[in-house]
Formats: sequence, structure tokens, C-alpha cells
Amino acid sequence: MHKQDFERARRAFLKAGGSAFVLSLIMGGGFATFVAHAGPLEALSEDQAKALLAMGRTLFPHDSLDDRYYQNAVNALDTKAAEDAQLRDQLLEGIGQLNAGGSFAGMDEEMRVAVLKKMEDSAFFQTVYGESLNGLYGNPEVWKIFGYEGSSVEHGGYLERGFDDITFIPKDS
Amino acid sequence: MATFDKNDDSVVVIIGSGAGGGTLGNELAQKGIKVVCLEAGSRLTLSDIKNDTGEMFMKLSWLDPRVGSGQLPAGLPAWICKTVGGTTVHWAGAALRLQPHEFKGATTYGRLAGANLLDWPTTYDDLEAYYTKAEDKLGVTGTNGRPRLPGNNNYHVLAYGAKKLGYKDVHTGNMAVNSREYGGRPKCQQIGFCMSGCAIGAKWSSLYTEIPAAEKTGNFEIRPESMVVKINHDSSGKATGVVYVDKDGATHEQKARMVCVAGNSIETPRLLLNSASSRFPQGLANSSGQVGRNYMSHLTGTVYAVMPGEVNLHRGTQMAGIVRDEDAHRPERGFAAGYELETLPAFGFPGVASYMKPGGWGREYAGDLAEYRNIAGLWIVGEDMPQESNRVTLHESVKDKNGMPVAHVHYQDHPNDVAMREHAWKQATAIYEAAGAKRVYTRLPFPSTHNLGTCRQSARAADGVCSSFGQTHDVKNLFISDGSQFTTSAAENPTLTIVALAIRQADYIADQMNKRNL
Repeated sequence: MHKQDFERARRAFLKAGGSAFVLSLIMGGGFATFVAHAGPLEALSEDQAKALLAMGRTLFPHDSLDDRYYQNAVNALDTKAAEDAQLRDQLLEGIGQLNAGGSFAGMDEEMRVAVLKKMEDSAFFQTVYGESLNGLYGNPEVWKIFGYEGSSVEHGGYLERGFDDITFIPKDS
Repeated sequence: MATFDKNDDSVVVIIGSGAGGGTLGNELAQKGIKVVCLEAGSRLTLSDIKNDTGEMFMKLSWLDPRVGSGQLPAGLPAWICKTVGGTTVHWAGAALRLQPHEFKGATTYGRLAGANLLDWPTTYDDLEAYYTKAEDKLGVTGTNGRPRLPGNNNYHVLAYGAKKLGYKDVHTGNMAVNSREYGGRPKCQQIGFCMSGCAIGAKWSSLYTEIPAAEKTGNFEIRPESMVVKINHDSSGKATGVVYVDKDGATHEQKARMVCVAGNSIETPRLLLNSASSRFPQGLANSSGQVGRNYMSHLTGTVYAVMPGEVNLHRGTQMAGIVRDEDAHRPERGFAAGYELETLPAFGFPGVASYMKPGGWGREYAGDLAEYRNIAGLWIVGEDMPQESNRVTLHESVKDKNGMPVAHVHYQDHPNDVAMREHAWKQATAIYEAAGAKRVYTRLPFPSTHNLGTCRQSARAADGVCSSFGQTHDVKNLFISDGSQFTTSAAENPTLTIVALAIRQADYIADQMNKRNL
């Protein structure tokens, strides 16, 4: 299992490097600054945007989150594609592949996963993956839902706010 | 605060202002020696430091182009800093001494195929008194009567599992993060953003300790946003000054009686190689051909665990937690040298989502991320083998905005590194399982923050670049003053040793100047 992980991560590293996505995928998934994006769509049609939204929901499925948390990444891609013809072509081609066997957004989750598995190595997949990860997990509203507390210095850190409040194991003396 | 003329050839020029350069500069200035410190990055104040991983990554990191190959990310082979204070702004604060046997890699580990092992010309005994001075300077916890930090939740998970497995040397480490007010710096408030810069200055950084202290002497001038591109020398082979580019792109020469290079182990060899001349066609101080070689980045790796209850690992001092039982040399484990297990800086929720399983997606992964509150994590740091083929060279075609060839950094694990990482992953997994983990993720290194060995110390000039004091074998008024000096990487986080070497180097330089040898 370790060897496979190793190989997979190594390939992901090598692939990410040298492309414009080095920061967004390797460091920036975590370290890129989150920017909220709102519509209307500029480069993509409603149907194309729906396919990307379904892709985001398939990559990081959280049934308790409504679509607006996933929509942010779609809008970010749309904004970038409006200024970058190469990216727009990549997205349109990728969306075409998503829909090759029928409407991707209309498929059940098992089918959507099967479609994405076949596309994992594509540049399109990497693009949407990085944007979806950042758009979802970089969103401070989503942090609150899952328990990440963000900046703490203005609250005096955690010295008096639970840095050692663990309960499920006994504390080291 | 002093300012020195660019033609003043009585100054010592130090390149870089981090653990090596910042410390050396202050030590020399305190002795009355005039210093001009040239730093490529800009100068921040504490108010510029925010609890925002992304914003601080962009503010602090060295983002000028570099090319990585081998198993390194091509565009970001290492994660180090370009700012006044260098990587001491970003470091986690783990301040461990190297172990005596680690200064004798070749003798202790014997011959390992493909490893370019060599004993340091420095022994633990040579450095012991300087380690004490360094610990007092940094205020290291758990040394010389200073109490250790309290453990955070992530530490308690690690300690509980480790002790269940029978590990004994488990505690909150030796940290240059104040457990009580010390050195004019406040006590740690368990803020949880150490590696984005400590917003209150509880963590030692040369940015707000060494550099202002040096400025107060009137013997020290720091010039931020000054990128050195070349070291000049005269016909006798002595360094005479440096050429640097300021923030407006203007080129200057600063004359010097002596040049000390502390640009971190990628930029330091890059500068020496870029200073090649007809007299030194292989680059400055490179008659051995070892400049840039034996690049080490520590054997590292990461383990995350989904625990049965809340951990909130973003709370508290990020790296105050360590298991030291595996750091001895016990070849019966199937590899030479040893490693430490240290609590992990998680880099926030997006950081965990990005790194727990790079490229991970789907219902199981998203489900584990939804349990973010319950995730614990540790970082593996061990001794990696020096290899001649792991090296920093000047890239053939890619140049930076000053027209200087960028560093090409190549790194590939040695089989000993692979065996050590497998062992560490297995032990770390057992620790978290002993503490009740529901799932454990093991993963490969982040872009390296520990860069070592590219201008190594050696007893013989043919085997390395500099002496035990960092003085280059070829150019006697040229010193290596950062982690590039490391002959071997050892298992411990390197900063304390860099600081100890810098204090010792300052004593040596002052002594040699008194004797008129320099």
C-alpha cells in the first residue's frame, strides 16, 4: 500500500510541477487565498456549468452541503476561462468527455465515479480538481461547518480556549 | 543604525539574514566588527504577520523560479523563505542538538553503496559549549532550566499512542518557543500558526532578535531586497566584494574584507557556481567539485489519523511534541541512522484536504475530511544519505529576472531513505492505531524546508568545500555560514546547529582578525 501511495503521489507531484498549477495543486490547494466568485456565467453555458458542478459534488461529496458551496469553484473556472482561451478549450473538451455517455449531471453517483476514474490523469481533471478543492475547503463558511477555526491571534490564541481539551484519551502527565 | 559606504572594504559582507546570517551578523557586530548584511527579501514587522496560511505563504516564501527534478516537484523543489529573518520567520521552532555519533557518519554507518558519507571535521565536543550558547540565545525549552511547553491535543494523541507501544522518550520537545517570557519575547499563547510566522514573537526569529540587536551596536547595516548575483575576487584569489541587484533593478558592488554566504543550501551553491571566473572556472571554492553536491533535505514523510474524538490539531504550538526513541543508529531495523516523530503543522483545513491524500477524492476521502475535528498528525524527520548525484546546479537555460541562471535541484531517495521511511510509516501507524485511529493516511514529503549539505565541511580539501569553521578551503576570506556546511544531515531539525555553528564561526573570525590572519 505504501509503495502504491508513493508512486501515485510522486506522479502527481511530477505532473503538477512545470505547469501553471504547481502552486494551486501542491501548495496552493492549501495556501492559495480563497476568493468568492459570483455569476452570471461568461464563458460556459448553464448546462456546461451543471456538469462541472456535478463533477465537484462527485469529487468531494458532502450531502449536507447545498450547491452554492460547490458553485464557487465553477464560477471561478468560468471567470478564468473567459480570459484564457486555452483553459476554455480544455474545459469544453473535458465537459464533452464527461457527457460522452449521456448527461453527466443526470447520472447516479456510481456512474459519475466510473466516468471520472477514467479521466483522472487528464489535465482537465487536474484543473477542476484543484479549483474544486480550493473553492470548497478554502471557503471560510465551510471551515465553520467542519470545525476549522481560522485566525486565532485576535482571540488570544488557544491558551485559554481549549488547546488541550482532549477527552477521548487520558492526557499525558 | 549604521550605514556603510559601498567602497568601504573594511566591512564583512554577509549574504542572508536567517539562522546563519542573522546570528553571525549580530555576533560579529557585538564584537565591534562592521557588517553589511545583504538580504534578497523584504523586511516585515510583527504587524505584517497574519494567521492566514495562504497570505503568509505568498509573503514569506522564495517564489523566484527554480527547477526541480528526480522526485522533487518541478516548480517548487523546496519551500524556504525570502524575507528578512529568512526561514527563521517560518520555522516551527524545533531546536534539537545533533547526537555525538551523527558527526561521524562514515565511521558509524560504514560503507553504504551510493552514499557519499564522510565524518564531520567538527565533533560534538567542539560544539557542546556553543549548543548551550545557542539554546540560551533562542530560549530553548527543556534546556538549561527552562520548562517545556504544555502539550496540545495533537501531542496528547501522539504521546498516548507512543507510550502504549512502549516508547519512553516522549515529550513536548526542545522548542525555541517561549514557555514563559524570555529574552524580551512573550510566552506562547498556543495560537497555532507558528509556520506562518509567530504574530506575537514568542518563537525565536532573527527578524526580531538578532537583527535589531545588531543594529543597536552601530556596527551593522542590513539592506533588504538586495539580491547578490556574484562574489568578486582579486588576482590573488581573495574575495573582494559582491555584486548585487536592488529592488529597482540597479546593480551595485559592495566591497568587503570578507564574504560570508548564508543563503540556504540552494542559493548558497548557486551563488558560488555563478561566481565562476577564469581563475575558478568550476565556480568559487569548488576545486573539489563538491559545491552543490550531497544535497540533503532530510528523510521526511507525514502521517494523518482519523481519531474517535476531537483533536482540533490547528490549536496550539504546532511542533511541540516528539518521540525520540527511533533516533539512534540501530542497523537491526534494516537501515542506518535514525529518525524523529514530531507533531505536525497541519496548515489549516485546506492544508489537510490537500495533503492528507494528495489527489484524493470520493466519498470515503470526503467523509474523512468531514471529520476534520478528529484528525491528528505527525511529521517524520530522519537522516537522509548524502549522494553526489543529489545536487544543485545552474540551469542551462532558465534565468531569473536579473539574468542569473536559476537553481536546478535534483533529489532521489537512497535505498536507506526508503527503508527508513517505510519503518517510520509503520511505527507511526501503530502509534495512532494504539490510540484508537479509525483510519491512517501515510504520505510522502512536502516540498522540503530542510536543505542541507551542498557546501559541506571536510577535513581534506578534496572531500568538501569548507573547514570545521565554515572557511572555504580555496578562498580563505570566504565563509559558508548556513546549513550548506552540514557534512551529513543527522535526524534533528537543523536550525539549532546552524545557530551554534554561526556563533562559533564568529569567535573564529574575530580571533583570526586579531591575529591578522584575515
